[in-house]
Formats: sequence, structure tokens, C-alpha cells
Amino acid sequence: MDPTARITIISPLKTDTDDRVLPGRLRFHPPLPLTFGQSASTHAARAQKLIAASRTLSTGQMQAPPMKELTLLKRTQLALLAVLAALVLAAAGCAGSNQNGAGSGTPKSSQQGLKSLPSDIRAAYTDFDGPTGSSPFANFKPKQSPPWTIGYASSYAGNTWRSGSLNQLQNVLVPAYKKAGLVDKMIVTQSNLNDSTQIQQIRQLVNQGADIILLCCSSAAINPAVTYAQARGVPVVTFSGYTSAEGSVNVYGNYVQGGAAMADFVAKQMGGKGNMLLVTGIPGAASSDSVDRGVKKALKKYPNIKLVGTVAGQWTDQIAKTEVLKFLSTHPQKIDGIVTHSAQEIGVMQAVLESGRKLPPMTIGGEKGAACYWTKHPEWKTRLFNVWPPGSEATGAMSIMVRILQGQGPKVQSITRNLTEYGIDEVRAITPKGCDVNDATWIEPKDWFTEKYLDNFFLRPKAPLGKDIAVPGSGSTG
Amino acid sequence: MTVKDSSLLRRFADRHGYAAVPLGLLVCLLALAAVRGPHLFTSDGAAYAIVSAAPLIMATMALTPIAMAGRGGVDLAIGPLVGFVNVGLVFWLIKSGVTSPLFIIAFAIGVSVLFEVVQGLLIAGLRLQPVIVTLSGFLVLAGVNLMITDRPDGMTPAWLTAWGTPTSVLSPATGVLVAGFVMWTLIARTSFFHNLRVMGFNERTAYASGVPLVLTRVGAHAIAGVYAGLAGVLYTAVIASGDPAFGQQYTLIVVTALLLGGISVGGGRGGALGAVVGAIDVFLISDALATFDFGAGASFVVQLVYGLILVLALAVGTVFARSGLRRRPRDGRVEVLA
Repeated sequence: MDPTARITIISPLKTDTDDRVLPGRLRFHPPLPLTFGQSASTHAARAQKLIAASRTLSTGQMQAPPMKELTLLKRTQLALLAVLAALVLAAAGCAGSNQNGAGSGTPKSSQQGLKSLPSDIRAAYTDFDGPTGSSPFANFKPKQSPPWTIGYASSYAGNTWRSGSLNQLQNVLVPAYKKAGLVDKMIVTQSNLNDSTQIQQIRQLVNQGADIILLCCSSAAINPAVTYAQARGVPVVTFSGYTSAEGSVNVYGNYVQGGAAMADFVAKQMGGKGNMLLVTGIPGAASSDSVDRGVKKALKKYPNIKLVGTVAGQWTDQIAKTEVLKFLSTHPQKIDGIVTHSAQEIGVMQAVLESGRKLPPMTIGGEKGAACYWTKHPEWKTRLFNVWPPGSEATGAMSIMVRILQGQGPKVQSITRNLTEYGIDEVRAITPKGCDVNDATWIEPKDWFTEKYLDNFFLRPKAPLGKDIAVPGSGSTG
Repeated sequence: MTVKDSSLLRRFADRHGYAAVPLGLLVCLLALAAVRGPHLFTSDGAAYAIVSAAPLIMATMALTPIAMAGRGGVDLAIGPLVGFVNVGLVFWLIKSGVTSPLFIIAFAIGVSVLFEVVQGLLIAGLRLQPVIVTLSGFLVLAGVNLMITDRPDGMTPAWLTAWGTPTSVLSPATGVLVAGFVMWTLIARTSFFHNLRVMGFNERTAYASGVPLVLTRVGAHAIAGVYAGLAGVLYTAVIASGDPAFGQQYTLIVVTALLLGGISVGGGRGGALGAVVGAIDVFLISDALATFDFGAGASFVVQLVYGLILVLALAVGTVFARSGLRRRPRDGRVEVLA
């Protein structure tokens, strides 16, 4: 088929007489029922008639359309298509008959790893949702001697939490470990919440010679990349979240417990009855879901509390504010308590105040602005919950990475701890008088993954730097 | 230049001239990759690159017939649709013990063809604006995905996991890509495809020339459904699990690939070559940028570069097209195709 012939039907109509070929008489002509079943000649004849009619109306200089252009799907092509489809299906069928059943990605259900931990540490694993089998890196030896290269495959950089953890990594941790001759450099990639991009970036970091990969806040989708890294002798450390793949060591607080504690606190302040609003994070993100599970579990104990709404603040103040305002304007009833994830409580607070309501009992997390408001209005029934402090979790992850590379031998796939809480006195102690109620930087807990605490999780423990590194915002000097 | 001049090169240029800019970009990006990340050119690196890029290539091919059908038809629902196939496969089929490749591929293609045909009927039959229909489709499917599962989880059968972890360049994913490409070249030889292009250029003229508009538009959507289904299967192989939140951002990436491939959303112009090259370009851009250390700003740098390259590619493409129009008048008529 000559490609130029094909256009002869349309070009003159379009370029010369676009409007004139569609007079009223033709516009109401019934469309040609061109179907694959219809014989080519019938259709061609009708098309010819129509075009002949249009030709008489236009200025002439038009060619009759070549008949072959309107022939339908050729038999040979149909046959080829069918053969192709059959081939694909047959190939697929073969693949399936060989190996059916579930493949990789199964979380290790074995409790072997947990048993090796001291009993007081084991308590932190109540309701824990990450994998707790024994770690495959118990006898891991790195490919090269220090200083090592760290690849950080971050999935997002657009909120205060992410900038808090990256800031701690780049400006505090890497320089400190570099000085000790343990870390050479850290390569950072960002995938903007796109799993397949993050998978590709993890592979690239492995190929570029990273000795260990750090991930943040990951999901099951990353499992194949973790397995890829493990097969090439590169361990993966996930902080503030987990992957169920065997080749990752997960470092994060017990978020289910955190959610339960927050809901429990607000429910008690509400007197065990009334309407509650939950401001969740990103629906579909694992850590967001973990907290919500805890909240719902705790609320089972309070049958008189009604969860009147769940809105998604996306862990971003501006979005949380918009969503809560929207909710409040469409729900005139009294809201007796609010449970919110952190990194959005300033937005929630502002929304309630702007709607002209009184602040009900509510949780706050690490945002300094909310804590500041609390010190100025101590009558507000609130409490500060450290569930996922960014700098502290990054600090723990860094130590664990170096420990793994030093061959200290992690005992278990996931390393966790209980959340901590700040009452008004502790908050006052770390909040200066001239604080700003819109300050969105983070308050960190005093102790989180301290070196002494992490020693419990390794077979041959030794603090890499011999001391804890201070986390700015925690009020402790380390 | 006469109509009779139909040397092989000439014909190729006529048919695929729209893809000149993306092809040029591809060469530049490959050169950059050779300098920055030579691992891409090893057997292992190439095998994984193909598997990683395969879902995007298929999804871009899915958008191509819809874009070519004109009326500004960009299927915004493509991301959530691929995501729906992903969670549907993992949480409905595989969880209930159905692991046969035959069923999985049939299900993937079946549901996405069904969804696309419904969209096509709404657009062509009720003459609703494509952007409204596909935006609704986007929102509906994004919600449905989160209803199926509220967190990323699940696993895939061994054969599908193996698809995502290839051992050589000649992996099943490559096979699916080749099959998709062959299918396209066969479709491109049918009169249905010619009708599609004619309709994309000018619907009124197509109508007057006897093109069945409703059937052609629905047909374009049905073809898109086949490719979207294959994209869903390949994506499931890559992540070896089900992810409900996937899809929202994916639409943007696929549309970027489509435009970068030189395919006109105004209709008529485009083809599988452009879709494939555009998708590979997008993949290589993010691949090349990942070798630089931009720290916290990395994701924004990637988006910035996508945007800049897109505008640049479109600008260069437009300039080429204009000079092409002036240079090659044919028998007194202006060449409007290609």
C-alpha cells in the first residue's frame, strides 16, 4: 500500500473544500455501517456513491478514492493475528504449567528472630505489623573495607518529615561517620512516590557500587528490588516503614501501638463518649494504614464513641487544613475529639480555630508550632506523641547500616520500639518563650534508637562511634 | 518530489517522520547513559531496563490509538486502570488461588478492554467530552483500587515473579513487547486504522467519507484496553505485589511519554514507533538523572527536566513540521498526514 494513496480521500476535502463538502443534504445522510463482517464491495460501492455526491458539490479537481483503500482486514492478516494470539497464550500456558503457586515476597512467619531478643525488648513487638523472622545478614561480610558508600533511595521529598530526616542524614550523620572513616559518601535518589522508578533507582544504586541501600517508608512493591540487591550482596535498610522481603532490615517505631495510644488518650479525654474525627495520612501508604489500624483497635473498647469521619491530610499541613475545614463545614454536629497523624496537626488546629469552634481533645505529634500553641494555651487537652520522629529514626537507621557493614550480625528482620509521649512539662522544657505557632520543624524524643538500645538487636554489638549522636530538636545533648 | 517517489527511506520518513525528534532525543540519552551509567549496556542491565520500561511502553501504546482518534482524547484514566489491573490480579485472582497465566492475562485484557469500551461508548455514543469521561474514570478507578485494598500487599505466582526478574535480554517481557509491536503493525495495515487516522484529522470529513465514527472510536478504545491490560500484567511482574496507591502519578508520566513520542493529542498523527521511543526517552531521562546526586531536590529536578525536554521537543517538532509542509507540496495539495 502506497502511503500517499491513502490520503487522497481526505486531503482535498480537508484542505480545499472543508465546509463545502458537508452541505445539509449530506450531513443527514446515514453513516455507513462499516463493520468487519460486511463485504468490502458493498461498502466500497456505498462509499463511492457518497463521495461522488460530494464531488458534484465541490469545486472538482478531486480523485475517486482507490478501491483498495477501503478493503477490510485481509484474511492473511487476520490469520497472522490469530496465530500471534495463540502463540502468546500458549507460551503463557507453558510457563504456568511448569511452576504454579505463590512465589517470592512472603513475609517470614517464623518467630525465631524474636526469641533471640531480651524479653523486655520483645514487649515492644506487641501488635507489630512488620516481618519478625531472623535476619539473613547474621553472618554478613561486606565486599570491601570502610569507608563505605550508602545509596539512599528516597521516595518523596515534599513535606517537613522528609526534609527533617534528609537534613539529619546529610548534615549531621554523614559528616560524623565520615570523620570516623566509616562512610565515604551518600548518593540520594528521589522517585516522587512512583514505585517502579524507585525500583529502578535501587537497582542503579546497587550497580553504581553502593555497599548498602537505605530506603524510606517503603511498600510491598519494592520487594523485587530488595531481592535484587540481596542477590548481589547488598543489604537494604528500611526506616520508617517496612518491606516484607527477607533482604531488608526494617527500622521503625511500633506504629500500630502508636495509633492505639493516641486514640486511647483522646477517648479518655472525651469521657468515653461522643463524636471523633480521624485525620489520617496517605490512604494506601503502609505506615499510614498501620496507625489507623491501631486507632480502630483501641476504639473497640469505647462503644459509645462514634467515628464520625475520616479525612486524609496527606501528612501536609495545607491539605489537612483544607480537608478538615471541608469536613467541619458539612458536619454541624459537635466534634468531641480529634486523632491526627503527625506532620499535619498545625493545619488541623488552624482549621478548627478558623471554623469558630473550640479545640476539642486532640493529639499532637512533632510539629513545633502545635507544641508552641499548647504552651500558650495549657488548658487545651492534648498530648504530644512521638510516633515517627524523622531525625531520630534516620539516626537509628544510620547506626544500623554501619553495624551491618561491620558484620555485627542483626538478629531480627525488624527493629522497633515503643512510642514515647511528652506532657506539658516536657514540652515547656524544650519550647522557648518566643516560639512560633506556625513552626513546622520537628520536636524529637529524648531517646529513640540509642546505641545502647540497638545493642540488643545484634549478635556482636559495638556502637560504631562509641557514643550517641545528638538529634537537633530533642533537647538532649546525646 | 512526486507521488511516485516511494523509495524505502522516503516511505519510512513519510510514515514515521513525526518520530524524528524523539528518535534524536533517544540517541542523545543513550550517549549520556553510556557515560553516566554504563551498566545499562551489560546483559544484566539491559534485561532489567527492558522489564522496568515495559509497563510504561505498553501504557503509552495504549494511549496512542485514543490520541490518534482526535477530539483531544487523552485517556487520563490510564494510570488507575493499570493500577486496577494490578490490584485486581493480586487481590482477586491470585489471592483466590487462580495462578494460571492464561486466566491472568485474559482477565487483565478483559477488564481493561471492558472499561475502555464503556469509556469509548460514553465519548462516541453520548458525545460527552473525552476529558470529562476519562477524568471520571480516573477518579472512579482510583477509589475502587483503594476499596479493593487499603495498603500495598500481596504476592504474585512464581512465573510472574520470574517475569520481573529476568536473566537475559530475551525475557518474557521482551516477548510481550514484541507481540504488542507486531500486533500494532498488523492493525496499522487495516482500513480500520486508516479510518481512525482520518477521523482524528477531521471528524466531519471522515463522516462524509463514510467512516463509521462510533465504531471507530470505540475500536480505538478497545485496542487501548488490550495494551493497558498487558501494561497491568507487566507492572504486576515488576512490583510482584498489589499497590492501590499506584496510578495517580502514572497518568502524568504516560502522557509525558506520549507527547514526547511526537504523538499529537489533536488527533491523526502518531504510531507505535513514537509511543515506544517516547516511553524509552522518559525512562532514560529518569535513569540518567538518578546517576546525579541532587539530594532532596532530585524528584523536582526530574520533573523540571521532563517539562523542559517536553516543551523543547514539541517546539523542535513543530518547526520541523512547518518546514516539511513548505518543502513538499504534492500535486498542488498540501501534505497533511505524517
